[in-house]
Amino acid sequence: MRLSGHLKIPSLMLAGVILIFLPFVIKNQHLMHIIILASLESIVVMGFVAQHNLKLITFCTAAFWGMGAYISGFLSTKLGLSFWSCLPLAGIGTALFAFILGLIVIRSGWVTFLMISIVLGEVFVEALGHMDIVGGWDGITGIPRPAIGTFVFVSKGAYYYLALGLTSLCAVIFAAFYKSAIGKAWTAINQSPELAASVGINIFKYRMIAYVAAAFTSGLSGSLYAHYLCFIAPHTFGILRSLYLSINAAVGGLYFFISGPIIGSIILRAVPEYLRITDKYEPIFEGAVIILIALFFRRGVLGFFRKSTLRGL
Amino acid sequence: MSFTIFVQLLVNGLVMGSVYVLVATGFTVVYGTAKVMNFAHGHFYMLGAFIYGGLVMSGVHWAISLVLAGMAVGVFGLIAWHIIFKPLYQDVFLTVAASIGMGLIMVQGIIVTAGERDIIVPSVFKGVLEIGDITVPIEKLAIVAITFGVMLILHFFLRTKIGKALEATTIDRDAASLQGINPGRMFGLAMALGSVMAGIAGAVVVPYLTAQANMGNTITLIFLCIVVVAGHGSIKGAVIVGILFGLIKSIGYHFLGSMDIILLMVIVAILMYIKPWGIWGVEFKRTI
Amino acid sequence: MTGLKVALLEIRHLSKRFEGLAAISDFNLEVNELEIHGIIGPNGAGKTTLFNVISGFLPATAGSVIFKGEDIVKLPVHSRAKRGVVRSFQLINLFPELTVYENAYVGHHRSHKTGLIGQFLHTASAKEERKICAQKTTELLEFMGLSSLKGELAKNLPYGHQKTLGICIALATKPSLLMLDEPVAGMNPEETMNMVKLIQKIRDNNVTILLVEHDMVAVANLCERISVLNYGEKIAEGSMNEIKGSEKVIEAYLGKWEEGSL
Repeated sequence: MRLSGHLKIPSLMLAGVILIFLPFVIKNQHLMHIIILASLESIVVMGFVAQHNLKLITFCTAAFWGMGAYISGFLSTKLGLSFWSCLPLAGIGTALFAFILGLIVIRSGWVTFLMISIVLGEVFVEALGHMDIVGGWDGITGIPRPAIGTFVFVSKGAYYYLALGLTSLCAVIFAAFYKSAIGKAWTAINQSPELAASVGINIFKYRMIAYVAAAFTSGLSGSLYAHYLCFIAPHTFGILRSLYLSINAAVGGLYFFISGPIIGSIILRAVPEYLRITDKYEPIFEGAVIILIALFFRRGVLGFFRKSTLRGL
Repeated sequence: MSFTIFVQLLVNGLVMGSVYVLVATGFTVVYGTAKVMNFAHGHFYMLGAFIYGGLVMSGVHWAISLVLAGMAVGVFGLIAWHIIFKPLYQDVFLTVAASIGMGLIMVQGIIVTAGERDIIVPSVFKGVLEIGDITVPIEKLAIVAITFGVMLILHFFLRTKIGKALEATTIDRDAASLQGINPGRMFGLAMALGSVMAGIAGAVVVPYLTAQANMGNTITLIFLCIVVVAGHGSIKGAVIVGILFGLIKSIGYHFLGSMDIILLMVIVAILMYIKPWGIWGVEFKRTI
Repeated sequence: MTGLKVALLEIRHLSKRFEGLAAISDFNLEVNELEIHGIIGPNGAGKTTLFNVISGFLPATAGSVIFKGEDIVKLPVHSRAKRGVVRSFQLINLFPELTVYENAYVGHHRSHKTGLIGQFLHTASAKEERKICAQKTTELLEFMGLSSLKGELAKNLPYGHQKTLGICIALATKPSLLMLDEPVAGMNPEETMNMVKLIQKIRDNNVTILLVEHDMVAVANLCERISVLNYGEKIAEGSMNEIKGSEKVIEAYLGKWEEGSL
C-alpha cells in the first residue's frame, strides 16, 4: 500500500487540517498531554533514527534532550531569560557540545561510539545530581511558562500548538537534509560505507552533520519540554530513557525517518496508559516488551504497510 | 601520605582492580568472539553476588558457593544466548536494546524475590597478614588470589582444543567454520564463559562489598571504560587497564571521595583522545 | 615532436607489511596519462593489497604514492577519490537497495560544488547542480549500456551487470585514474570481450586505467604495459610480448602451477 504520487499533497493537506483543529476536537486533557509529550519525544527520536542509519548507534539521546532542558531551565530560572531566548540557546548549546564530543568519538568506530554514549548517559545524570547549582537530584523547579506579551501559554491547547510548531520545524529540518545531497550521502553511507568513501564521500563529515543536527533538535525539544512541565530532574534523562526513546524508533520502523518516530512515539505513549501494571512489576513488563519487540517486531509498524526502501519519510 | 596508607591504597586498588579485570575480561571474551555487546553483563555480576550470598547464608561452604554461583550464572548466560542473542546478534542496536531489557528484568526480578535489602555476608577469611607495620586483611588478598586463579584457568583453557577453537572463531569465524567448528556453539560457549567470569567476580566481592540490586550499574560504567580504553577485544588490555583503573579508583576515592568517578572519566577522555581505538585496539578492517 | 611523458601516477618504494609478513616490498611504478596499465601475477602475489594501499583502503608501511605531483600516501580514501583516484571492487560492492540510476547518481557526488549550507537550504545553485547530476547520470548510463536497467534494484541484477554497475559508479566520479580490480572475473568469453571494449571506450574518454587481472586474454587486448607481481615484488614490466618471454615470469607462474596453487 503506497501513497501514490498525486494523492500525496491532498493527504498532507488533510493531515495538516486535522492537526490544526485537533485541540478543538479532543477535550480529554490527559490525551492532549500524551500527544504533546509524544510529539516532543518524536523530535528526539528523529535524531536517533538519523544517527542509527549511519551506524551511529547511540544510547545517550536522552542526555542531549536533558542538556537542552537543563540549559533552558537554568537560563530561565537563574538568568531570567525568556523561553524564546532559551529555546535557540538550548539548541545551539547542545549542538556545540555534540560537535566537540563528536570530533573525539566519531572517528573511533561505532563500537567505541556506542560504549561512550552509554558512559556519557550515566555520567550526565550523575554529574547533574551532584551539581547544586542546578538543584542536584531535586532538579530545577518553577521553570517559567512561555509568554507572548501578556498571553501566557498555560492550557494544553496552547502548548499543543507550540509542540506542533516545533515538531513541524524539526521535521522540516530533517526533510531538508534527507532531500538534499547530504541525504543522498547519508543513504550511500548506510548502504555501503566503503563504496561511499571510494566515490569521495567523507564519512566522518556526514556523520558529524547527523550527530550535530540530532543534538540541535533534541536540545530544542528539551527546552520546550522543560517549559512545559516546568520542572526537570536528572533521573528523567538517563540511559533507560534513551533506550525507551530508541524503542519508539523501532516500533515506528527504523527506516522511516520522520513518520517512524512520530508513529512510534504516539503508540508507545498511548499504549501503556491503557495497561496498568503494578509498580513493582513494571520494569519486568517493560523489559519483556523490549525483548519481544526486538525479537519479533523489529520492522516496526510502518514496516508492515510499506516495504521500506530507504525512501520512507 | 604515610607509607602504610599508601600500601593500603595499593592493596585496595589491586582488589578492586581484580574484580574489574574479571568482569572486563568476561565482557571481552563475549564481545571478541561473537561481537555481542551484552549490556546486562554487569547484572550477571550482580546475579553471581546474590546467588553466592544466598548459598552462603544457607550454610553452603564458601568455596562451593563460589563455584556454584559462577556456574549458575554461566548457565544463565547460555540460556540468554539461545533465547535472546542468537536470533539478534547480527543487529547491534537490537542486541543492545534486548540486553538492556533483560537487565531490567533481572534487577527487578531480584528486588521482587530477594527484597530491597542488601545481602550482607560474614567474612570468610578472618585475620590479617602482617608485614612490618602494615596489616592487610587476608580477605582482600583472597580476592586477588581468586582472580589470579580464574585468569590462570582461562589462560590454560585457551590452550586446550576447545579453547583453540574458540580463539579461531574469534579471529575469523568463516575460516573456523570451514574447519568444522560450529560458530554458533562457540559463541554460546563464549557467552557462558564470560558470564561465569562475571558471576564469580560478583560472588567474590560479596563479603567485601555486600550484594545490592544496583551493583550492576556502577560496574557497567567502569568495565565499559576499561574495554574502550584497552581496545575492545583485547584480553591483555582488559587485564592491565582493569588493574590500572582499580588503582585510580582507590587513590581517587582517598583524595576525592565520591568524585573519584570524575577523575576516572577525565583519564578515560584523555586516553581516548590519544588512542581512539584503545591502547591495544585493532584499527577497524579498513580505514573507514 | 616528443616531450617528456608526464607520469600521472608514480609509486616509489611502496611497501606494506602485516605483522612481519611483507605483502608488498619496494614496489615502484609509473603510470602514464591515458595508458592502460595492467598488474598481473599468480594468486597471493599481493595485487589486491597493492590496490588497497594505492587507493587508501589500507595504510602503507612505507613509500610514496605520487599522483599528479602530489604524494597522497597519507590521505584517507575519500580524499584520494576527490583528487581523481577511484577504484572499483573485486567483490561486488554496490548500494544494494538503490536502483541502478541511484547508484550511478551517487557517484556524481564529487562534482557537487555547493557547500553544505547551500545544499541544506536547497538554494538555486544546489537545485541546478542536482539537475546537472541527473542529466550526467542518464548520459553515463547510456554510455555504459545500462539505461534499460535504470529502475532495477542493484541487488537484483545479474552478476555481469553488477560488475558493470560497479565500474559505472566509479566512472561517475570523473576520475583521472580509474583502478579496476579484476573487471572480468567470473565472465564468459563474450562478456569479457564486451567489457574489454567498454574499458577501451572509457580510456578513449580521457581516463587513465590501472587494472588488476588474471584473465590473460583481457590483459593482452587491453594493456599497453604490464607489471608482474610475485610475492609482493615486481619481477617484470613491459609489453605483453616482453614479459611473456621473461624467465622470471614463467618461473613464477610455473612454480605455482607445479605447486598446485595457480
